[in-house]
Amino acid sequence: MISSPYKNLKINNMNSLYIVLCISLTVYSCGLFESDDPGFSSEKIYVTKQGDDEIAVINLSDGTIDTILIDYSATNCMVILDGEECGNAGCMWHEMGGGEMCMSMSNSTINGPHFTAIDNTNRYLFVTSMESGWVGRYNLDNHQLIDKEMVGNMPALMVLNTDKEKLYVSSMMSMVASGGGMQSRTDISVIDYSDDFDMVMTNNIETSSPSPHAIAINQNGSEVFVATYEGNWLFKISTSLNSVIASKPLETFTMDKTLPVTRLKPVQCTHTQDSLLFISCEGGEWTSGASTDTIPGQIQMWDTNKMTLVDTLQFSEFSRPWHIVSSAVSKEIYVVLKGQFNAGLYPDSDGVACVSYESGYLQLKWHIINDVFRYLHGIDISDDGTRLFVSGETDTNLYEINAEDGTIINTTLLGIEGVSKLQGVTYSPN
Amino acid sequence: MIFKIILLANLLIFTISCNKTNNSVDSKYTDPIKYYKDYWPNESGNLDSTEMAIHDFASASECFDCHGQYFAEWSKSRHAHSFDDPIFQKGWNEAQIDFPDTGERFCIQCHAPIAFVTGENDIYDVMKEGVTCTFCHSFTGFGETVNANDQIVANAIYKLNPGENTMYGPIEDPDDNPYHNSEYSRLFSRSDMCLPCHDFTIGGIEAEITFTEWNIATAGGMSETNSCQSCHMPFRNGRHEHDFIGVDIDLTKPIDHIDSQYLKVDSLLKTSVELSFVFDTNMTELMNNDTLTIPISVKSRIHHSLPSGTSFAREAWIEIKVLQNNSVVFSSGNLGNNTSDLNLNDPALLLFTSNILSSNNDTLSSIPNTQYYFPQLLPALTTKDWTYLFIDDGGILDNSNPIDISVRMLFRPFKPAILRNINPPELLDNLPIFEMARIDTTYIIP
Repeated sequence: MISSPYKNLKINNMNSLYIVLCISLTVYSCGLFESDDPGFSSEKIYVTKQGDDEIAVINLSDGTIDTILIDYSATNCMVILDGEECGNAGCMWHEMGGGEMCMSMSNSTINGPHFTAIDNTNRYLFVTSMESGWVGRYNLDNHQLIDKEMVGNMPALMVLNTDKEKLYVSSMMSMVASGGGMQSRTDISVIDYSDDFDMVMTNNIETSSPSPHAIAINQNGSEVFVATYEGNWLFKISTSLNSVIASKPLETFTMDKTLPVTRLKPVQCTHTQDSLLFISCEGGEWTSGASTDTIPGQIQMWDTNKMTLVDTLQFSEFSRPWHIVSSAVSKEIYVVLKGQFNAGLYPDSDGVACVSYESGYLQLKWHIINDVFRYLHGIDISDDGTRLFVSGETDTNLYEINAEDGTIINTTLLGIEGVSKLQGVTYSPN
Repeated sequence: MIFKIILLANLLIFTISCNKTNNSVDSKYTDPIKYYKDYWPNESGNLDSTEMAIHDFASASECFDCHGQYFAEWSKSRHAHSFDDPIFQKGWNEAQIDFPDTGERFCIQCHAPIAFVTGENDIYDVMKEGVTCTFCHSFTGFGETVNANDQIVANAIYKLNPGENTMYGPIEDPDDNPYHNSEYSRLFSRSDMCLPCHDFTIGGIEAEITFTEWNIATAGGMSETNSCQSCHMPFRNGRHEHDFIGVDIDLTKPIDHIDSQYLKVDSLLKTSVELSFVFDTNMTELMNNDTLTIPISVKSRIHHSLPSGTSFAREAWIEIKVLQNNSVVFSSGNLGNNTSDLNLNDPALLLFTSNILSSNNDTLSSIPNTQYYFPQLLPALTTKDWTYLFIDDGGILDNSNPIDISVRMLFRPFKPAILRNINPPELLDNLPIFEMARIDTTYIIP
């Protein structure tokens, strides 16, 4: 006889067989062990919530949402007596009145997670925290923080070389403060994460051009491409040499790469296996010296072998092309059109667009708009190329979109409108 | 029987559990906690209903005992005088005449926001405090740009949670106190706090869009580092200053060059632009035949346009004086006194301002009747090049003596014409001119 937890219930062996059978049927059929099934989906989407210091993890198989808190406890800078250690801890070494001391860089513990990158091979999740200057490494399976590395001055986008376990980090753009203070960076940071517990920033690759923000890496990891938001230039970097090996202005207008001309304003780029680089450029009204101009938001297609501009696709001056992603299975790229803050005055200028380069030049395949969209920001694509995932910075939604025709499949609210500030989106197949 | 029940229960569990395999991603976050009290304006901008009452907002005087320094700064600020300011009062009266149904609420939605969100028509003391302590420190969410239609219907969106004895602010670990609860809010470090009153359009015209200007200049407001607060509520001596320094000073009092408000405005303006001559150190090309060429450059160092906000009321301009033997041989933007008008017919005048016109093309001094807008601003973080040409066809210049060139960028918060028709008349007398930048050089004609 089996004792039952149910009061006054006694059952015999035959009946217990029924129960075991039923439970087994339920457990098996409901897929509680489906992770052993090669057909089982455990896709996840990681969305940074810059305004909440969180990352939302959406499990597509069951719709559940987990949260990773980005909380790098404030370091007590003043107890650090060594200049190098001070910098490594995310503090600033100050010379004051003949003495030196280590001081905090800010008065707050805001981190501002902006972008995530995933190494599926080694099972890591990386996060840039642009307000605090840290890059964090997390275990992709349990989302526990492994370690963090101080990059300083607003780390932004990232690309990975998973074979060599290197992380390339760009910086935020156009942050020259009035009255002095923080200046735009001209370099990108290289972090070696081959050690299981301790990432190390090994290099800063100098471009001499302000605000290297847009960043992409080629298929074999030998070259990184960077476009400067203020400098208006494109750079090809050898990852073995850790230095720039080729550079070109994004337009003939800007021949001096060091000047902060801030004209086309490249935001992000993506590299495809046919040695093509696609750069999203914000554009907009431009004023300098005695000149004014209106620059359409645009996508540029570059041949990265020759470092030549192949084609340009223009959107409206108010469209502000933002994050961009390429399909691994078709000759298509997808770009978020951020639009204007006061969207009501600029109807139809924002949305999501699919651009084909099948014919060798850029051709708009579809462009969707929606009254719900408010300041779209990040985008990524599923491995099979069928679904896009787009974040709304102000509307705070994650949109799942059919990549074939732009139909919105699902909308998931991830926070509080206007407050949570959704940014980068990263797809993980498992 | 029991087994049938168990079997059915299992099947029920099976059915429920298996729903997840439908790959539904319906939101688990569809109902964020509502931390704010609502209100519902009607088609005239009056409230049909509101969850807020006047007693939800305490007077700033109640904050004084514990927050004396903040109170002292705020009480001199333009936020504290947004309602009792005589220039606002004149504009408010005019709006009520021109728009009897909507004009009253339209103006107070920002200038006496407590009156707006509570729907009160009586003037309570706390309303006269304008943008007061308990209004801002009740913010639990962000508003949006105010897009006014031609009938100027008030529609500002505030997300506030007053009357719950909780003050929200940017201190991450506030000390307990016996008077109110304190709650940390990230919102207070973001520029979005300044919505909706500092981002405003009328009839589709982007007439006062300081937030939008900032948003564009900072690549979509990406960072909190360059927020409004970082310049206008700077963090000094362990706290955020609360005098909300901008470009305005109290015009009801004579100019006091050592008053803290004057000094802070002066200091802020001096960090806002850079002036430079655009010629080489030898200045070899300045004099060509009988023409003296003086190229200059003005570089903005701020994250919104110059001027911004009510730019139609402001003037920033270049004053240039070219002297030889202590006599002015050429000038532009040179005023006799603070209340003189600029010579708008001077083709050499480099002036940053804007103009708003009515449907009859009359120049306006307040926003409600705006039909046309002509911005002439220096956009954020941009440079403006300008070249002065002095043709010495009268043979004034003497080749044997040096030429002194003095260039200043000047600013005044009001065009004198706006103040001439406003009581009390001393407002005009008290109008300051601030020097934002100055460069000088001496040129010897080769």
